[in-house]
Amino acid sequence: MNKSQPTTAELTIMIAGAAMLIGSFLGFYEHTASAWGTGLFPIATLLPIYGVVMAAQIAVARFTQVQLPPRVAGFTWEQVHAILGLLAVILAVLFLAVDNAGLGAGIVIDFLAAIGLAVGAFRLQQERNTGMIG
Amino acid sequence: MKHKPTPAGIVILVSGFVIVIASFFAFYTFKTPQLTFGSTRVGGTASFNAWDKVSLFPVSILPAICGLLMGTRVATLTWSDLRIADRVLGLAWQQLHLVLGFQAAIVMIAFLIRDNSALSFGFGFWLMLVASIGLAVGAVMLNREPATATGPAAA
Repeated sequence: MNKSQPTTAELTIMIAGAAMLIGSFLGFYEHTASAWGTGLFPIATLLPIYGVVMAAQIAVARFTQVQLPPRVAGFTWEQVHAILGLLAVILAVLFLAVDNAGLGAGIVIDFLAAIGLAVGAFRLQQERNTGMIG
Repeated sequence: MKHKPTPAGIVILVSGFVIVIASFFAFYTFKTPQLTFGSTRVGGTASFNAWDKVSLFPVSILPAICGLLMGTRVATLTWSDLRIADRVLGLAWQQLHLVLGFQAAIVMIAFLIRDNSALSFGFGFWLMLVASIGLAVGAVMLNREPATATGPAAA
């Protein structure tokens, strides 16, 4: 594996993870705080946490010499990405459905970023031929 | 009866049942001093279950949905001949139980940490919290049981 050239799936996950983190600092709903503010922390904060974990794993494995364990609690890293990507989408959809005065930029960006994470995670399965898809 | 449920299966079944039922009990309560103006009373106690918008519905029912899925899987494997795919998206059911159990527990712990402002936790919340931990414990137990009790082993 070329250490310097991230694949399309890896780029997607890193960009979506960064977008998720940025979106988490913006207002989730009209007249409410961000994912780090009172009322939503730490429930909505799970979204950027999932995104940052995914992006950080890719970045560490791709750009550093750090040797990560091949499995975490019996899960391969590809499985971890698929699970966190799906959970991020589910959580973002649930937060979109919460009764609110109007959607803010934060939840919209986080929802789009969650879709990006899931797409990146599933593209990763194809790139690495994990057999999870198809 | 097709099979006898394993200890892990019993923990998941009980926790799944409790978390779904508890979601209909008071998740939050709100107390204000009760004032009486002639024949009119104002204030008192109000309670909201996990299905109420005050409780951040539908995020608040996510742990109950996780419990329902886990309990249903164990129940069908134990008591019915219904065939469910051994793997979902490449994940063995043992792994899915771990994901769902820990997701339920993480969301409930997040609700526990959340600043509720004037709201207090109700009986339903505490039951859901305990049941979600039960789901996570049951999932870990399931992973330590022989594969025959839980379906095919993880990859």
